[in-house]
Amino acid sequence: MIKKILVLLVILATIATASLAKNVTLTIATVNNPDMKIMESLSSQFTKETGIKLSWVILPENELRQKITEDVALGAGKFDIVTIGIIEVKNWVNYGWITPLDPFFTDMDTTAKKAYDLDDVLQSVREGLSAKGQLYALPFYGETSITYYRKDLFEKAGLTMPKEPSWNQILDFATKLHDPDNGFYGLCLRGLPGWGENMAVFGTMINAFGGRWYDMDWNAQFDTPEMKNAFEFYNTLIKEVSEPGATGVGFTEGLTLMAQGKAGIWYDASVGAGLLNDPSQSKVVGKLGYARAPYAKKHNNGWLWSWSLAMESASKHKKEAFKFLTWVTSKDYINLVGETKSWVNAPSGSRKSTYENPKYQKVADFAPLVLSAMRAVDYNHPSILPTPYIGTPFVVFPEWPHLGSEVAQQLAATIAGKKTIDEALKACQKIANEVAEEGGYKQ
Amino acid sequence: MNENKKKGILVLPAVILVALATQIPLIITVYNSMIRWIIVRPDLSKKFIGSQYYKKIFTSDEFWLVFQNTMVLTVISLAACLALGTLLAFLLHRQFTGVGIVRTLLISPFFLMDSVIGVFWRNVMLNPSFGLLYYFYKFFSLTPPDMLAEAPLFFIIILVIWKWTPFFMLVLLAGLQSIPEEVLEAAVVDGANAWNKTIYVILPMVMKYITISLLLGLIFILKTFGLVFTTTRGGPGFASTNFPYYVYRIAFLGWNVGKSSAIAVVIIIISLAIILVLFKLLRKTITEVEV
Amino acid sequence: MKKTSSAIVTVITFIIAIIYFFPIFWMIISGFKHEIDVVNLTFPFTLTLENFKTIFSGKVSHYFMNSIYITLVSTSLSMMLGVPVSYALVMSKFKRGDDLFFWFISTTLLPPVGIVIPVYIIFKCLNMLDTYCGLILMYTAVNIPLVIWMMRSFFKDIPRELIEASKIDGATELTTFFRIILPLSRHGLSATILLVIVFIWNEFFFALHLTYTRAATLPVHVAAYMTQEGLFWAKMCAISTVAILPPLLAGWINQKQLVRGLTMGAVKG
Repeated sequence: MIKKILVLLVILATIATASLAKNVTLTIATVNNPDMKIMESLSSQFTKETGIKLSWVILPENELRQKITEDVALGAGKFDIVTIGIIEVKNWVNYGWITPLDPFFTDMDTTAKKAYDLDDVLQSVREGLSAKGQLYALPFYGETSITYYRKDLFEKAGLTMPKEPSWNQILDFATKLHDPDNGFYGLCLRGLPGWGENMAVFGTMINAFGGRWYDMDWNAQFDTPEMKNAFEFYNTLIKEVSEPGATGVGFTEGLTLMAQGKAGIWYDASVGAGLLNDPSQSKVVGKLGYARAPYAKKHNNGWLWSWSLAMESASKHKKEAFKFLTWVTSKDYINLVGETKSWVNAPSGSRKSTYENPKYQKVADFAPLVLSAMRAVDYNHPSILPTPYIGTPFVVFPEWPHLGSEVAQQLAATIAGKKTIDEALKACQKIANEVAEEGGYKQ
Repeated sequence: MNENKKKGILVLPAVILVALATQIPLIITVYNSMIRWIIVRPDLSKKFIGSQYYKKIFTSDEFWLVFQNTMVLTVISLAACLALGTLLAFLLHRQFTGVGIVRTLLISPFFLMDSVIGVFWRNVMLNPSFGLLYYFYKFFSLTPPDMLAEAPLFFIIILVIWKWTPFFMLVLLAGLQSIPEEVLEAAVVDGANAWNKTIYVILPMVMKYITISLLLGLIFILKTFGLVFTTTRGGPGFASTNFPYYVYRIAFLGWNVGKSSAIAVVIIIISLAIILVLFKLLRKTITEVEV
Repeated sequence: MKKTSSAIVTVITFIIAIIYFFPIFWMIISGFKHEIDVVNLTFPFTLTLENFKTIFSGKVSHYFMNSIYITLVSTSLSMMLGVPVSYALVMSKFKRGDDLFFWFISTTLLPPVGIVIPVYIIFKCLNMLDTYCGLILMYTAVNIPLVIWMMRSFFKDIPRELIEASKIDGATELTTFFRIILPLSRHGLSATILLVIVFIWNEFFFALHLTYTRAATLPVHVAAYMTQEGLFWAKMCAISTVAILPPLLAGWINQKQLVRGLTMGAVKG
């Protein structure tokens, strides 16, 4: 008799908790790019399967970062899931703002764990999203920087792009293709001032030219010849062979230019490949070739960036949040995007299996190059010289948005002709030293 | 009901709400300006540091450049808006068919969101590679200027003028329309010609409206933020950073609450000083001006 | 002679208006183009409704209704709280009236970006983040000074004789207010209401920081269409067109009132 009552109670309790679960709404903060928009539209599937509802806050990158940082740092804790990058993971772990995911993985039952296949997630990305030995976020997609070029125009001009070109070669090729009178530019490069905009590209150049931001004693290194070389070469590229109005050109503008067929070479994020091969948005489908990020003194300069999903420690629905995290970063989800939208738009740069999928390989001729580039990134050793910080191409510390934006502005001032390179270097040196001192890094 | 009670009922609700919503944050901001608090470094404890940030601000080159930018932006925009607004007000003060349509067309820019104005003008209109500017210049076989880099402050000034002239136009139009016809006719009968008519008859009567539009315009243009944010990001360097954007830069990129609060306090004091001076000036030099 | 010069001036006026309005026209048209055509200036281009379809398949109506609700309530509250103050400042003897007036104006000098962090923390403590109430309170408080300023000017314009006459007729202050003062200043009221509506409708900064999902307004949603990693110019133009419609409509309706001008010819005429 008692046994029956107990069973009944258990059943009732299960029903109760299940229905409670059905009333959970997760608040998600994410960035407004096409992949995330697809995620939002497909998430009704998730709600159908699990009964968990989703509430979205979608914003441009800058505003999103501010809103999320505000939410975690000032303690409102209203987001369950936040979309962040590698840099936030590394910085925020120290303050306990996001929750480690390992305990949740341990709690997963064996079939679910196998289906998720954490090992399938690219190792470089997994390491980027881990700190203190634990995984803190799951990658939605990953990217690196690659060199896009117009295969057709290269052939016509008798040029060959090597698998990993040097910056000098890029300058050379671009000079040969540069035709500004006809609205065609040899090279398209970001110039928009911003720590995640021009500094993403320029940061890789600093590394490529053998420079670094700080030495092991946290002294700023803007007074070194390597840094000066990087500044000068960047100026040469922009002023001689690139698009006009570079200070207004970020990723989207660069993509627009390349998609309109106005540039011969474009060095930027690998996620552009999908868009450049979409006939509804691009005029250069089938005309593109791909190469690795350029080198100078150092090789393997592609950056590593991943928009990833993490759980706020303040979330009251961690189990449900974890369910969504694993759903949207699973192989099944990638398949879902591939089948319902298109394979060229499938989120990439996160899992090996995507690149091994023949359907993806068919539409993504850039896939092998991007995969090798992502695998080659060494996030922990950005420079050939020793550094007290990690990060390609950023300096991973909480002061990065400040340092990055200020240096970005100085760089933009040089290409706008408002400052000489020496003046800008001096200003950057001052700022970087101040940041190191005020942050307590420099003793 | 006794006089004081009546005044109290009329005035107190507004005073209380405004005080709560604006003065409390202000007091907190003043306090914040004297502590070291960096939001993304909770490991660095909040420390009271007095006027350190104020000293830093006044001795930095950037602050004075930002101050200059703000003054240039404000003065030029106000002058241009006033001039253009006056011209348009005169044009609209006449009777002609379609005056309503013209008025609607002219006031539309004022209703647009700052961020939309910024993004749209920067990319679709003035981008030197694929904006309208590019095609316009290509038509004449010239290369378009890179406004964003070469004249960023000017770029923003143009947008401010485009957005705010309709406001000036409307206020001044109301002013013109408040002049009774008899006054104008009397002036004509007196033999006054058009110029004299303008200076001695029309001007004093619309002075009040000019003052209102100038003061309101001043207050709002000083606070210009969205236009800077979506176009030049205050750059290159600090070339187009104005006061509010400077606060933003330190508060939301540097996450430095202390320093940004100090800058905010300085800005408020400077704005207050400007308004005070203007109030007194207008009252002294022009008789019968009521603000 | 006068007729031709007048006609010429009219034509010039039209031309100026068209040039001035042109960017907005361009923006509206761009909302109907394909993305690829917006930056390519192809001529002729095909019109399409796909951008609007994309917008309306999203949650735009939620944000739109939020904006309408918040704007209407905040504007009404600003007027209801601000107009009495203007009345008191003008009609009653107020020893420190000028100081009070100046204090109100000084609150408008606060840049939102300067006080948003304290406000955010206060709201967080009071559980007012992402609530209609919170945003409405902020908007009302920030716009009351504007209402006071403008209505004070309009109230001052009302000839004293009219008010005296009404008093002599035995009317109470309340009756005088509703029968004489309010009707005479209705143009000023419309102008003020329009101004406040436009400012609240387009306000972005507080909306961004103080709301999340429930109370977010249209400007925040419009931001979601900007700087995507993909071509978005046409979609942004489309949603901006949607966003500008209510203020534009309010302005168009209102300016018919403004036309009548602020003539106080009742006594003189």
